[in-house]
Amino acid sequence: MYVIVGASAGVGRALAARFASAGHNLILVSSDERDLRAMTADLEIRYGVRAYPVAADVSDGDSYLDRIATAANEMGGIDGLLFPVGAVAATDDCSFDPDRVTWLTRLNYESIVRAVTRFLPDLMTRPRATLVAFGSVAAVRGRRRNVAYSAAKRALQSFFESLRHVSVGSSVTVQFYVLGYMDTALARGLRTSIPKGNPEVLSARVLQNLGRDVGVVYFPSFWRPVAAALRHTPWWLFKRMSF
Amino acid sequence: MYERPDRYRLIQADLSRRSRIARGGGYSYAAASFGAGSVVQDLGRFNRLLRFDPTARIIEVEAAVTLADLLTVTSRAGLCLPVQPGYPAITIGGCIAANVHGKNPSREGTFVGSLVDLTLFHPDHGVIRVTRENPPGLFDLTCGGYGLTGVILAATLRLEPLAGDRVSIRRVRVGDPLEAIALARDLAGDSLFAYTWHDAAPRGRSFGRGFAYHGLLKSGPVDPNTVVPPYRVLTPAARARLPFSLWQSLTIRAFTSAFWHAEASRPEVTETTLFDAIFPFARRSVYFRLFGRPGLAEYQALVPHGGTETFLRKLRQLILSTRAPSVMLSLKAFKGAPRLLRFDGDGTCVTLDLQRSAATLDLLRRIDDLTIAVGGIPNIIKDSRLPKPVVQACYPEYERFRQELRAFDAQRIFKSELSERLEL
Repeated sequence: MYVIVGASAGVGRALAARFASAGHNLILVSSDERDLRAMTADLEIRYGVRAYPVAADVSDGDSYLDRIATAANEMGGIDGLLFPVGAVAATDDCSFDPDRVTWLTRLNYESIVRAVTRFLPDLMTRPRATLVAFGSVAAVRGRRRNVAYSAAKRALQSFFESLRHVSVGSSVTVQFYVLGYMDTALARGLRTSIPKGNPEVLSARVLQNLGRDVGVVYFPSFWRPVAAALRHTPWWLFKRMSF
Repeated sequence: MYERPDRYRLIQADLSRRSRIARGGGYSYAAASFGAGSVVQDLGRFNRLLRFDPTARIIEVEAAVTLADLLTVTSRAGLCLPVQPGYPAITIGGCIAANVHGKNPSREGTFVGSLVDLTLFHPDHGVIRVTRENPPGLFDLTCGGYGLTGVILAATLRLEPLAGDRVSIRRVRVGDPLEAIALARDLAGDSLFAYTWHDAAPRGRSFGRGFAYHGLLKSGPVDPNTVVPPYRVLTPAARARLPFSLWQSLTIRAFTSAFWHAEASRPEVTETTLFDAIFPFARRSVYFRLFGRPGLAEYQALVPHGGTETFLRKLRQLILSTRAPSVMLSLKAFKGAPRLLRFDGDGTCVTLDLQRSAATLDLLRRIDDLTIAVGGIPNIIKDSRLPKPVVQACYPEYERFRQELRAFDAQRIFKSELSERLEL
């Protein structure tokens, strides 16, 4: 059984459908209760799996983790946690609204750390388990835009790198996907000539990689050299770039 | 402006008082899902199954669930939708908005007969559960209301047993459409489908020769894994990829003649899959692609039994005199009750496909007059140029529809090219 946090739209929704089609029972977490109800009903009817909804705003405390734990006990324990959760804000531009920064940091980083911290000891006792988080190419270099979001995603990548190190020799596999522009509502209205990644293709890749020590995966894969080039762009040139 | 919401709160987001219209699969021949100045809300992500009770033969689905999707899931329980319009990627929301019909409307009626209730969103009324009784009148206004009462979010549908997934088709050769009128009615009976096909190329001698097709579902096991075979979904871009139409007068004659001879040389009784029987163009989308960028024009009229012969005689004269590039003509028996702007009633459904051209538009104007003269009704969802005066003259409840729509939505928030053209 897998837990997907941020399941009701975009990448999370594609992952839920893909995992259900492979016969996995699911616990789905999302703040959109109505979408979540629709989704769990759909997965149960379509694929005959069990899908348990947990409606919660993960930036608003940890009580939802107890509900996951209770449901997981009933469903035979957790085989993996996936965190396609995240949000950007139009005002995340160094105007430094403290509440906005706190919210972005909680949602994109802190909530995931707290969930992993809560369930990692249990996962270590499973014969095989996987932890999957999703970062963003936006975090490759700090820019004028998506300031707190990028910082949170870079912190998340560092946290998962540490987790991977901690998990060496254990039954837990730790994976981190760095996502480029995806064809989801998060990139809605974004006018770019750069091809957007398909969540369905990504979900197939994640399922295929379960249990494999793939480390950091860029999706779409062309972002790996692009990210490397950005990382090594000298400051005199980078400061002239507007993106 | 084009939106593709993937959560309920995005559909219900505040667009202030901007006009808007919902879009399903985008397969209607008229511009019902877009219009100048209207925000298009593409409901493609609302394609989830919400409740399935095989014992009660009921399924509740979101609006963008497609016919193919529904057939795959319901066939596992030996059930299917009674009314299946002709393309598998059509959505349930679209079926409701246009109150579509299937292959044998004289037996199964139109889509409204399969609809138990629906969930509708309107910015002024919120999310409403609409049953046949409550709120009074809204069910009838929405089913066949062309998406003008709000966004159809979900619907509960009645299913019927599915006896098998193979269909036996009997073909009867007919000399012309007049000869086929009674046949189309007689063959309908309890069959899965009954319709005729006629060569409508504008030539005197063999105009209208064709076949009547009569399909019966064969009892047997249903394989849910193959009931919907792979097919390439026809998209607007793919359909119009050819910059010109291959349906020109010479090619129309050649293709229709070749088709007639191919059909004539086949055994009288053949067998096919349920999918190919109910969605005949799904795996033969080349028919639509050949119309190229100029596009297909379709005219469909429901003609009262008493006026069918006159209608067909005069239609033949019009086609031969205008030499408009007509490709095929089809007849189907219809049984139902007309209401508001629904394409429903007793009579013969006459369908004419043409290549879009100036001569075609001239012919269609003349057919409008003919339809009015025989007391028929044109199908609003099939004709992108149908003018308001024709609809007003043919549909006795046109004014009532307008008034009831305004009583429900005084601001008239939901607008499309179709609604503006017909001044709804």
